[in-house]
Amino acid sequence: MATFTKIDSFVENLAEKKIDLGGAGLTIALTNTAHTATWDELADLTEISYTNLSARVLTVTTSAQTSGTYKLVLADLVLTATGAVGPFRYIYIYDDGSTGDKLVAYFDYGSAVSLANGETFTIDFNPTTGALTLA
Amino acid sequence: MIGSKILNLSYTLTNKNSSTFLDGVSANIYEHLNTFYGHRVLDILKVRVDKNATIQNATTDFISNVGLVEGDSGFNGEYSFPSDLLKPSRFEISYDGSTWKKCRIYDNALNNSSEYNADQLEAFSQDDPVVDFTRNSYKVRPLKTTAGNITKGIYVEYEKRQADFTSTTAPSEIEANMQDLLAYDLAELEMIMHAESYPSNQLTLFRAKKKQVEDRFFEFYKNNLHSNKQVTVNYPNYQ
Repeated sequence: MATFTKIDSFVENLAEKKIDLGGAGLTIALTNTAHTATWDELADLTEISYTNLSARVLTVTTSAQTSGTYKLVLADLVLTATGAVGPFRYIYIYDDGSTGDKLVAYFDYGSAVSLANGETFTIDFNPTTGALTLA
Repeated sequence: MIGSKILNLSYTLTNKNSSTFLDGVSANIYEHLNTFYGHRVLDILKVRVDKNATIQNATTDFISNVGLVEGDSGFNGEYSFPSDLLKPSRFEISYDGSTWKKCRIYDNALNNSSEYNADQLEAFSQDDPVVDFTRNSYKVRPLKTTAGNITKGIYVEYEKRQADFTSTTAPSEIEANMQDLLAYDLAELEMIMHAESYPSNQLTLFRAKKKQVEDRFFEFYKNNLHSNKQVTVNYPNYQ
């Protein structure tokens, strides 16, 4: 299971209304370069080419609080290759609707992966516990 | 394509024969060929990234830690890798001889408790066994602290090192249609050894042809196994 690791600047960006978790902008970015703690925006990543990859936009199922605890539930995303993709190892979530495309979190697949034509890469979020909670 | 056929192709590519090719000593030439064979097997692993290239499996008894001393196989959960292992890919373990569980790969640097004391190692769960890789061995957690070994209790899948081939056998870990690449590798060595014998236009043509053969090899191994992947994201609670 991949560890969901928040970007250091995420908490500040969230507190200063620079990121909207409930908006339609949460998107996946893929890179084969290990994370650096100072990274804050999409431009900090060396992304792979997405020419042969399906859409990377995440669907927010729910973004709401209950008894003071906020929960973000994301739908699983299946990335489908229509040609060679990668290699990549690190999967980032960023807010495409924010100024500078602020990074939210990343997770490590554990090894570099390449996709050939017709292959899929599924990002499986827990529909019950959600992608993250804030209290 | 058996070894002698590969060698014949190398002779053709270099316009040499058995006495003029490289040092003319068959044993040395086959040693070079097998070195190239090993390199090409590693190339397959590299281009496939995380897909199986030369998968092999092995089992070993899961040995009770009771009465073991340092140096014994299984002491502190440590076992030697199979001797032909290039890269481990999957471990399963059974604590009862009837059900096996996949081991999670684990980094013991993350363990702030003990990696030595059997009592503390009981903190690991048989429902979530882990394996930690060292250079030539692996350690499984938790230990089997009750008496009695589990026959074939550890199952390992791994990428294996190839066995040498000879004049009458083929490099079987490479797809038969791609085995001619080894002839090009060997011919290239001849062209380095006797560089003065080869005009530049011949070298240019050779390099172009070798690149074509090599590109075909990489393209085949990049794409011949279809694979769908999944990453499951764990749940963080920020409070």
